[in-house]
Amino acid sequence: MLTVLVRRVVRLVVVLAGVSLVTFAILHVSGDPVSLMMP
Amino acid sequence: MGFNEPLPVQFVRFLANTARGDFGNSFFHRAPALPLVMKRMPTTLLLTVLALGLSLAIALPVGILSAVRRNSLFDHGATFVVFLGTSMPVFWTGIMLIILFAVQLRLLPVSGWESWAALVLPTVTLATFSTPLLLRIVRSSMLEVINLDYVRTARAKGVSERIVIWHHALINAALPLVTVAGLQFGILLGGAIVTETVFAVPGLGRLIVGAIRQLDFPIVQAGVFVLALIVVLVNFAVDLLYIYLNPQIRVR
Repeated sequence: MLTVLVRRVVRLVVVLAGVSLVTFAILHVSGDPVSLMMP
Repeated sequence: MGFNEPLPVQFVRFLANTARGDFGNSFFHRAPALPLVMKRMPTTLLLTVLALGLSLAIALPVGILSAVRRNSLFDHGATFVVFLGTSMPVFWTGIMLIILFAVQLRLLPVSGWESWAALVLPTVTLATFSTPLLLRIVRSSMLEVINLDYVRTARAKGVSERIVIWHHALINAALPLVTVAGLQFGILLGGAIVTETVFAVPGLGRLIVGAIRQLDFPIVQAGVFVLALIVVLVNFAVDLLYIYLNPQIRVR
């Protein structure tokens, strides 16, 4: 049971790292951030 | 803001700031993004939890009864309602409920989030989206389980039908339901954005939609991250519940 729990926690950390990457990409994939922020 | 630095450097800095809960200041509100998001979060979370609770409260008894009385008039009626529910988009259901209960019957408020009466229409609207799927899962899982040998043995031992269904059969039938309910939680959080817009609920969804319109990236980043974090944590909780419900995993 402990093995399953540890495996789930490791997966949680990997998913959170993936979420961080996607959230970071929101700003950069959509183009030049500076030009997007300019009115 | 460090946009002149290489992307990997910016990403590492972003990770470090995220770990501290720092997503920068909102360009529009001129305030830190995360507190603004967290201020709206309870509303969206309450709406989602209420909708999922209502869905389960309907799906469990109706699904079980549909499985027990397979091919009866009740079962066919439930199947019809399921197809009706899945074929109606959330925004349309919301508008129709507003026209009926708020405009014509004047029973409930059109929009807002000030009273308990205001929670009813958004919750019902969101629940119509998830109830049909959960109902189908309960029905099919129960159909698989109620014909198994151990259920027949319980009946043969003279255990009452109520205990056979709710205690013996439902625990095993609950495994796929728990998985789907966890996934539905994430989908409902996304669906809450549409529902919040229709009912003018001051939740996270409306904040994110407004931030996208205003190109307010710190708010979008903080909002998306918090929503994703909640979905991941809920699925982690589902995994733990799965371990509790399934003795095979505990033994492994």
